[in-house]
Amino acid sequence: MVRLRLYGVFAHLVGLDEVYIEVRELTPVGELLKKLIPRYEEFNAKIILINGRPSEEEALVSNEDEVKVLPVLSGG
Amino acid sequence: MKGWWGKILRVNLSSGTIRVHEYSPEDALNFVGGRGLAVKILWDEVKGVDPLGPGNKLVFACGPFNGLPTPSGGKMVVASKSPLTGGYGDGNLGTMASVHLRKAGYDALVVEGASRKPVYIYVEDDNVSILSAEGLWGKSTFDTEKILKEAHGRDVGVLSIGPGGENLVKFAVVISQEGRSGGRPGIGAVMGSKKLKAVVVRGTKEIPVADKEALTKLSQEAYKAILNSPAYAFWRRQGTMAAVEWCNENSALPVRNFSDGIFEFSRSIDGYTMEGMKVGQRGCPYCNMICGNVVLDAEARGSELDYENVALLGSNLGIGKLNEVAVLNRLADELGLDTISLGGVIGFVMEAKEKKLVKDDEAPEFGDFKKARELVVNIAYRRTELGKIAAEGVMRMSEFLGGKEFAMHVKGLEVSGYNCFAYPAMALAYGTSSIGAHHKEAWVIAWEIGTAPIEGEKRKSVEYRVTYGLEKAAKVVELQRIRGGMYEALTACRLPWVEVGLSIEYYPRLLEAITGVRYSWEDLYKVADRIYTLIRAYWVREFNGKWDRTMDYPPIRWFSEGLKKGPLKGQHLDKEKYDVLLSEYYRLRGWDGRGIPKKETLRELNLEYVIPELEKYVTLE
Repeated sequence: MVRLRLYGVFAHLVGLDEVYIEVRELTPVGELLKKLIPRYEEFNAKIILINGRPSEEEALVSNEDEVKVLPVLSGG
Repeated sequence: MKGWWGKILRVNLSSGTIRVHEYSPEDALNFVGGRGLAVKILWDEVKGVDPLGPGNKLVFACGPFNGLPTPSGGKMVVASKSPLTGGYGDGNLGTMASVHLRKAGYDALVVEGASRKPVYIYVEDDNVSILSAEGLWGKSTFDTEKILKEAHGRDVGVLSIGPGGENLVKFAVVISQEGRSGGRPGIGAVMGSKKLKAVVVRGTKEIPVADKEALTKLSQEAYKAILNSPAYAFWRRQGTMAAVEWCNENSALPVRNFSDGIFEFSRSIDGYTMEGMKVGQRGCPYCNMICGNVVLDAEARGSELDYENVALLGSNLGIGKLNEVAVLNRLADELGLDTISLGGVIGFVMEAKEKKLVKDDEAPEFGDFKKARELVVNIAYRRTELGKIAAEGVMRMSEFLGGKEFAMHVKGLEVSGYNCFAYPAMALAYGTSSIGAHHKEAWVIAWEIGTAPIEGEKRKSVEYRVTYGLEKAAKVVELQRIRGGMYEALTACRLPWVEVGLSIEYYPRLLEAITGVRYSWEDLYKVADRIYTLIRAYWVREFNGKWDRTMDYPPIRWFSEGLKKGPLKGQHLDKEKYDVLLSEYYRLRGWDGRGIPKKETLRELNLEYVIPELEKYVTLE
C-alpha cells in the first residue's frame, strides 16, 4: 500500500491526514493525488515528497513508497 | 487627482504646530503610497539624526487602497529611522486608523519633534488636536485603546504604544485593536521618545475615486473569489498557524535559538492544538479571510496567535505548551513589544545562560516559562540589569556579552520564524530584506523546496540538496517587488494572493479603478525597484557611507553549524556560494559589489537627486 500523508489544507479537504492506497502497477503520484484530493487541480503549486525526496507529479510510486503532500504556504 | 488626496497631515510636538502639506502628483505616481511615501519623506527630511531624538520623524503612511472597500486593504505603514538598526525601519499593521486617516482627508500623518509631556493626537477630519495623555502613560495598549474609545466613541481608529515604547525598548511596536501590531525595528520606541502615547482618528469624508462602479464590481468579484477558494475553509480554521507543522516537517522551525529545525513538542504548539483552544477570531478592516486566532492562555486571558509569535516564543525558547506561549504573546501585545524580536532576544539569553555568558539567576534556561515571563516584563520596564540589556536587542547584547556566533539577526533586526540551514534562497531573502531580517518581503522557502532539483529518473528523485542556482536570486527580487514593493505601497495585505490564491491581476485593476491611472506590471516593478533602491540609499547615507556587502549576510550560525537531527541532518549554508547568490542579487538590482546603488540605476529610477547627496559619503560607481 502506498502510504499517503496529507498536510494542512489537503488534510482538510480529504478529511483525513493519512490514507493508504493499493496500486496494481507503478503509478504517477499526481494521478493518485488528483483522485484523492477534492479540487486538487485548483492548487497551482504543491510540494510532493516521495520517501522524503521532493518529486514531480509524474514520479511513479509503488506499494513500498511513502508520499507526503504539503501545500505551498506563504508565511505569516 | 483621484484616489490620492495629495495631502499629508503634519504635527510638530515640539512647537505644537499643525499643518496640512500638499505633495506633488508626481510623487504620488512615482511612489504610490505606504512604504513608498514613507521612504521618500525619510530620505528628504530625516538625515543624520538620533533615532530617539526630536529630529526623527514618525510616518504613518497609507496608499490609494486604504479607506476604500479593497480586499484586505485595511493596512497602514508605520515608518521611521530605526533605533534598533540605525537604518530605514518600518512595519505594517491592520487598523481602523488606516481607514479613518484616509477618510479624514489625508494620505499620511507625519509627527515631528517631541513633546515634553505625554500626549496623544486626535484627528477628526480637519480638526486636529494634541491632547494630554498623562492619565494614559504607563497603561497597556489594551487599556489605552479601551479608554480612548470610551472618551471618543467606538467609531475611531486607535494606534498606541505600551510601556515597551514608553521605556524606549529598541523593538517596541505600535499596536491597534488588541493584537494588530507593526513596526518591528522600534517604531514604538520612536513614538515613546516623542512622548506620543497614541493617535486617535475619525474620518467621515468620501475619498475621491476615479471609477466607483468599477471599484465596487472588482472588489465584489475579488471578495467572492476569496470565499470560493479551495483553501479558504482551512485558512479560516488555522490561519498562519498551519506553518508550525509545515516548518517542522521541513526542518525550518526555529528551535532553541535557531540551533535546530525540528521540535519534539511541535505538535503541542501547532495549528491543531490552537484549534482546540480557540475562543474567537479577529482581523483587519475590510478583510473577509481574517486570521487572528484568539485562544485562552494559561492565565485565562485572550491571546491572538500567529505563526511568528508561536515559533519565536515557543519552539525557539524550548517551550512546548501553547497556553504558556500564548501568555508571552499576549504580554508582548499589551506591553507593546515585537513578538519576533522578543523571542529572538529571550532565545539568545537562554543560550547565553547555557554557555555561561550570562550568570544572572533570573536568566531563564531553555524551556523555563516562568523566568521567561518575568524577563518579558523586566524588558518592557527596563528593570534589572538583564532586562535593561535585553531591551537593546540581540545585536547589542552580543556586542556586550559575547556570543556573536549565535546572535540571530541581520542588520540588528532579529530573525523571524524560518530556520535557514538548508534554504539559501530564504537566507538571501533575510539578508536583503529592506529593514533587516524579516520574512514579509520574499518568503521563498516553499518555492525553494518545491523546485528542488530532481536528478535521475523521475521514478525516484534524489534527496533534497542545498543548491545555489542563480534563479534563486531572481526569485527573491521577484517576490520583493510584489510583496515588499507593491503590497507595501498600496497598502494591502498580501495574504489573499499568497494563501488563498487570489489572482494578482486584481491589484493593478483596482488601482486603476481608484486612481484612473493604469500601471502595467513593468510600472509596478519600477515603483518597487525605486522604493528598494531609495531604502538602500537611505541606509548607506545614515551609516555615513560605512557600508559593505557583509551587511547583507545572514547569521553565522547557518554557515558554521548544521541541523542536528532529522532528514536534513548536517545541512548548512556555504559562504562562498552565498556570496555568488548575493552578487547576482546586486547585479539584478543594479547595485555594486558593496551593495550600493550605481549611478545609472539611480538615474533609471528617477532618483537622480540622490546622487549628489550620497556622494558626500561614498563614491558611487
